[in-house]
Amino acid sequence: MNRVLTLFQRWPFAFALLLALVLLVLNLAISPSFLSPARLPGTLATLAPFVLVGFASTPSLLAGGIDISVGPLATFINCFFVAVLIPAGLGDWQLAAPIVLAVAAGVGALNGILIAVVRLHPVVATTGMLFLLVGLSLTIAQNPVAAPDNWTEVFAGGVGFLPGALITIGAAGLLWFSLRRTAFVSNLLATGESDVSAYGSGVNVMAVRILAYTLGGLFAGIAGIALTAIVQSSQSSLATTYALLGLAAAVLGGTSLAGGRGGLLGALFGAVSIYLLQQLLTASGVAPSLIQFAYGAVLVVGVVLGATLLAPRLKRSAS
Amino acid sequence: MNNQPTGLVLSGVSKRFGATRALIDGDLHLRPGEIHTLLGENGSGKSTLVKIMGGVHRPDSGTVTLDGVPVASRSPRAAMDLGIATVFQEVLTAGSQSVLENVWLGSHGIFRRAMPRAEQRTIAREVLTRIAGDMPLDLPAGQLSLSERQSLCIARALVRKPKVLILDESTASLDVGSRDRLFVEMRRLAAEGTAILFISHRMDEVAEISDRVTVLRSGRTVSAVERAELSIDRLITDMTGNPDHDATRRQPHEPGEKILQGTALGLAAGSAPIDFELRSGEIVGLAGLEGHGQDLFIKRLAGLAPGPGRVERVLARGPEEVSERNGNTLGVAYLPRERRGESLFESMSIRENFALPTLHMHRRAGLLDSASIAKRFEAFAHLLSLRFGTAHDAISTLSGGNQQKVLLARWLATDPQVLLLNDPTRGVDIGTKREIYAILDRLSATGMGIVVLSSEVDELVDLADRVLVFRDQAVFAEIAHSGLSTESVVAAYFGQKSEVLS
Amino acid sequence: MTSETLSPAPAPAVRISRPWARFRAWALEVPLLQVLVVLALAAWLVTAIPAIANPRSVTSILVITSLLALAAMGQTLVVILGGLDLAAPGYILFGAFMAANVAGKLAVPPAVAVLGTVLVCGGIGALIGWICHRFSVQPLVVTLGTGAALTGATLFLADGDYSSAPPQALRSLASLRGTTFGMPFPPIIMIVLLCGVGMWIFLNRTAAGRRFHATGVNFRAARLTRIRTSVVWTLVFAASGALAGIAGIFIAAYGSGWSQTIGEPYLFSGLAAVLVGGTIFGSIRGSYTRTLLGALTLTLLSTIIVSNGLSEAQSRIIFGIIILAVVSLYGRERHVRDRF
Repeated sequence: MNRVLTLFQRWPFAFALLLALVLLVLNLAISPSFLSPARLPGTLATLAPFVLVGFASTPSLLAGGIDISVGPLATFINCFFVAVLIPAGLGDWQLAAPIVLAVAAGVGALNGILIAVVRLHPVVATTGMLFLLVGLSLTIAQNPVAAPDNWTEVFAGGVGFLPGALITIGAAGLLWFSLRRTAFVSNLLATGESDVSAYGSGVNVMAVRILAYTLGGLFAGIAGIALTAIVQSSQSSLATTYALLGLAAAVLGGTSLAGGRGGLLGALFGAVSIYLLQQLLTASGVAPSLIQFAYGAVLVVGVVLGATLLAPRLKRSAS
Repeated sequence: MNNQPTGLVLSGVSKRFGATRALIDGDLHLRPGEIHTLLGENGSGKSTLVKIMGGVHRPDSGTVTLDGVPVASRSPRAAMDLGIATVFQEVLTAGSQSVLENVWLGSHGIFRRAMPRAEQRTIAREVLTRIAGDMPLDLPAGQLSLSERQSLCIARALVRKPKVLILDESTASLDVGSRDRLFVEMRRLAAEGTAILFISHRMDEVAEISDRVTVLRSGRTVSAVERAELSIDRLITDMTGNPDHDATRRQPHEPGEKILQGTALGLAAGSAPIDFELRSGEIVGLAGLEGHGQDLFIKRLAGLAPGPGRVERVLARGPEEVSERNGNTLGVAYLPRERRGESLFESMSIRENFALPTLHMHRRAGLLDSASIAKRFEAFAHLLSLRFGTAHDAISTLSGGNQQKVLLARWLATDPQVLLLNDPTRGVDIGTKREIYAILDRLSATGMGIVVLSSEVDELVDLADRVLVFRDQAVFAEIAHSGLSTESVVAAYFGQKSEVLS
Repeated sequence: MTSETLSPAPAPAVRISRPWARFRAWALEVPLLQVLVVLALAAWLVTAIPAIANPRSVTSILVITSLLALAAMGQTLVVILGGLDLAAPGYILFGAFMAANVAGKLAVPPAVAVLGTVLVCGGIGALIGWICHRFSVQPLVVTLGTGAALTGATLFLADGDYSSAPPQALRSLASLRGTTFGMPFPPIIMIVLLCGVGMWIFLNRTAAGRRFHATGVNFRAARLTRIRTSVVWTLVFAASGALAGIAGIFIAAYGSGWSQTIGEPYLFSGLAAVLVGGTIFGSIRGSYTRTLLGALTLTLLSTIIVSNGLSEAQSRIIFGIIILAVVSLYGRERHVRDRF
């Protein structure tokens, strides 16, 4: 038992991983075709926006801040692509993908600047940004605009044997993985753990923070593409749904709200757990209202478990 | 002076924070190859000077040059790139990062690593072995003791091979073994030509290690003394500006009745249980190397930490167990160690900070009676000769010593019979320290029982009626007033009982 | 703040030479700026649409403000404590459900429905506060989860019935035609004003209010100052829940009905009212007076925006900009340098 606990404490995402595995088994028990090759690309495509919004919430949390505008940013990117870029004839992937990602990273960078340079409280700055983004999405596309055929459809289906969703999730994962090989993630974790320590040791805290939010914005941009892939229309109304979902996924995956602990794998398993829970309950014919209840309950239990049983016993740092 | 001075030279440096002039025309010349001590009371401008050198603050006026080249660092990072490495007063570690990551923290670029990981390991191990002994490189830094974390911070500065090394009270949290190793390392580095600026509140350390001493007082440089002319009396005179220094030892008062009693207190699994008695009018000192249990012990006495055994307040109506809640009603007051983290409400005013635990005394018809709070505060401000602008100012505008006095007043206002002080003069200047000693003496004369945990041996020798020395989570020796001396306490630190004790 | 480098200096001259700093310090103490903004917006509104200066429209603006202020009341407390209560939509939904389905359809006496709301929402809030304190977890996610669970449970209880309306007794409290002791405005305005006065007294003139502020400013020190922080947290989150639940009753009463998403706009708008008012996380400067002014600012602003023919969407954009602008003035965090 103690060894299991140590394992959980060593790997913050272990709880979410275990939860995801249990839910997967239950899902397979209820509908054995759940993972069949025919359904898999579709399943993964529905999952991808969840996962990516979870990814997008992670870097800012690790930096000791929070970004509650990543969900609305993803829906804004969706509206921007469908209702602005495509009608303007900029819908080709060579043009649209860089533009969309640059805009998303730019919004993230703006958040970062507001927080690191103007020194606003992260919740405040990103709440302001949330209002801006929701307002902009509604201005661009008050009602859903259907998208014509476009390149994002790939991510809802697949390329050969490869489910398209793996490309979006994989791109974000690969980016993070390569960043882990640089000093950036160490700097990020140290900044999140104690910005005073990091600053005093010579870390450029300001740049690290701005980059963290920029990275979050970039991931949100990819999430926007993944979202477009499955809805194939502009869905400004989804902003509120996604606003806090990414945060829930990241935190359920063991990323600490206090900063400095966690990672992208946690967000992945957290998002998968939430998604599988919904699938499971839907498949077993439970009322949608109770699914929401279960989601809330799992979140609370997960966070409390993460903070107590599964947290590493660290001495309180003096700094 | 040569026309091309080498080393770090600060001349006429001034810095102002709001209405406060922290540093006025500060001068300092740090030569390569010397260990230079910077001395001064709290509020003398030492830390400001260090932060200017370390790149945290920029001076309002004056010049800073390194080997003749003007220095204009905007951040600790910029200062480090110039070869100035600072170990700041606070122990700055990232707790869930590994020791290795912590040693190299800040040496990297935003993306680029300073060097391959294998090389990082080798260098980190080598430096840590020299100053702290063996330390597992992959352990999260949060699991280390305070002393080890401090060594880690020093190692972080050393791996950069700085031209100028600044150690701001770095020995305050070090245990004696690590401190000795640090001194060896400092001498080695100085011999290789590194300029070292050393800051400490401990005169024995200053006397042992310094090649030269610069003294600051009230934000101005008062004197720079060569080793040959060094004398502790002179330094203290320079620092305090007060020539009559005689550290009189306090004479104990006749102790009264037993007021606090601890029975079979265990500080760690398997450690010897401790029985403890405090009588009224007594001042009991707690001593020990960092992390040997004295800190937990005083928290146990305050009812703030759980564990085996009982702590009881002995009252006329019989003993009553002390818990986290009932301290006020039982007359047990505890002054925590970390002023900023555990005591101060920085954005609140001086008076609000003072009144918090005693608010219930100032209620009229359910509402707070601010006139009565003000009156009570005035009384205590007078008693402790507090110096402040107005009672409405934020407490953060006060100097460390004055903040500590406000906090002492906070707890004295609860009218305690038992006063538990956890390192009450930590980071407090000598002048205020003496005032606090005098206050404690007066309080004990009125029958208050006082327990003082202190990291300064001299303080305990001056102040305490008897001293408990902790070692390995148990009381190793209890030294009575007659046997109390710096030597006997330090000997007990290291597990040796002198004959006087047995 | 540097802990030990400061020595007092005889420098009143310095203070006078920095009028801006003094003005800023003063503006931070007193929400004068917010009052000026409200007056300016009101003046703008009246100049732009003179017709709006009639009792009916003014009452309408005040009622909408009151609803927002009521919904933001608990949030104000939680923000002062240094947290964020994302369960507000859940509480509001539950309150609306109690008003419409329980008091309305089942004809339970309104007083019982109100009491039930206070007990359920307050109880859930208390549980959140206790959990957050006991296990030292951030309230953000716990309230998020609890809010979702409460929303789910309420919708399950409602069983698809969103067509009931609150009884007349409740509706008259927030109806535009309502009267308060014969005066021509609905009781809700009076209730919110009284709440404002009560909160001011609580925060500024009571020992409990002082302890509450202290807990927000420095949690660890508050504990060591023998403040029972677990009680503070439990009560504050309970109050936040109960108040949001009551706000839900009034919101349903005002709208004469409810829907599944009735609470959602109030989460971020309520937070916006708190922030625009100038209450900052874990700060001594937080107060409900500020939130009232913030709610009035936002209501006036959206009235102006809508009356200028702009859409709801554009008003959101302007809200966002205003939050950022106000908070840049007020709530800037300290540079890492100054936390050394």
